[in-house]
Amino acid sequence: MFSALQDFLFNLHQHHPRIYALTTVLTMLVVGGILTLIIQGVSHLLTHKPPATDLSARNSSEEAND
Amino acid sequence: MHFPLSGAEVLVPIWYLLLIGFTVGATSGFWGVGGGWMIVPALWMVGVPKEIAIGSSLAFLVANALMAGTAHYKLGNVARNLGLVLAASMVVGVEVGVRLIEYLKGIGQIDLAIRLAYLVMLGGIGFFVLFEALAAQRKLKAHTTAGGKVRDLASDGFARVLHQFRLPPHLHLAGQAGAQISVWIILVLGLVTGAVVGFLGLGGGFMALPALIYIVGTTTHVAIGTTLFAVIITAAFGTYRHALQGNVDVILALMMIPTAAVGTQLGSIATRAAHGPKIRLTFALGLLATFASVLADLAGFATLRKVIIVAAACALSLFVLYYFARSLSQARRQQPSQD
Repeated sequence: MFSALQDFLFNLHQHHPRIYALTTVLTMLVVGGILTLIIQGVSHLLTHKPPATDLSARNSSEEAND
Repeated sequence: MHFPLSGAEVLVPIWYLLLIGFTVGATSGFWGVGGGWMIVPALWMVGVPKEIAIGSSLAFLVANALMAGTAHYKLGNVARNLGLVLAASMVVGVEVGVRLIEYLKGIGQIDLAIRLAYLVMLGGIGFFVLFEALAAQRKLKAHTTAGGKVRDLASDGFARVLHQFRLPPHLHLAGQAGAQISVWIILVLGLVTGAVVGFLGLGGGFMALPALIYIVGTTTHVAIGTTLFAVIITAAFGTYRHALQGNVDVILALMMIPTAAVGTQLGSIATRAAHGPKIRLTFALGLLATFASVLADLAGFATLRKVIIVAAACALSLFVLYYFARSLSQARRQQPSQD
């Protein structure tokens, strides 16, 4: 799989060096961006606390009203 | 692995690429340098041709600096105006450096010139930062024990003299009330740094970071975030220039990114538990380890150079992991007091 992809990139560079160069830069930016989003999403899920209006708090306030 | 672009077949162990990726990610998050100064020697030491090592490391740096820069942006460590001026002047400098490479290629002296330039840059900056960080750490200890306010002591001295240069326009330095510096100083710095970067094929962080701390006078944490911001732009430009010449192997660069992504986040979180002089001290040790490996390479000790680079990569990764763990435990201790 790697060699097929590298052959394609080699041919692209031979025939369209500017398109190859731009694709390279864009690929790295996109990969970096996607990984950043994934990591930030995971870290948000791990560190985010649920809001204080949980079921136990509501139940205790209802008991107090009764 | 196979490298059709260079016309050479080289087998690079995948574990080696993953380890280098993690180390460079962790240290770039921790120090704010892209890590090209470590990747390029690490790749050429396992047989990757020099021009491919340089081009592919720049491509890797685009993604790596983007990941680390975003983490520091969220921590409020990026001075955008300073980063933009620095990056713009560095891009012009990179072009000068790339043309110098082409000239040296023409006269057949490129290999030796790059190795010697690496030695001078790594050794010079490494020893300077090492002695300064040790001195700053002694001062910091004295301040802490005397009960004085602990601050980043690196910005004293030369930076204060440059702040007296009043040629407009000026840039205000983030995190330092009243401190400002002439844009012209940043432009000259960027040009010189960019030229060295273009010549050595690096992102420029290892030069821009000490320059921002000692010459511009920013705090270490702002220097880290701003350098990463500038490195994204210069590395993207450098990648484009090298890709035009066929010096970039995208697959090689992509192989190092998954572990770098994890390392970057750990490294940037680890900075919360380390003060400026400690960060600079480890930065100096990293530079000097790479300096030693290049020296061993020049002297013909093939095994020693590999041992040095792998040992340094493992030690630096463990060091960042230690500070990451300390940062987590500090955050846990602070949580009950906030509640």
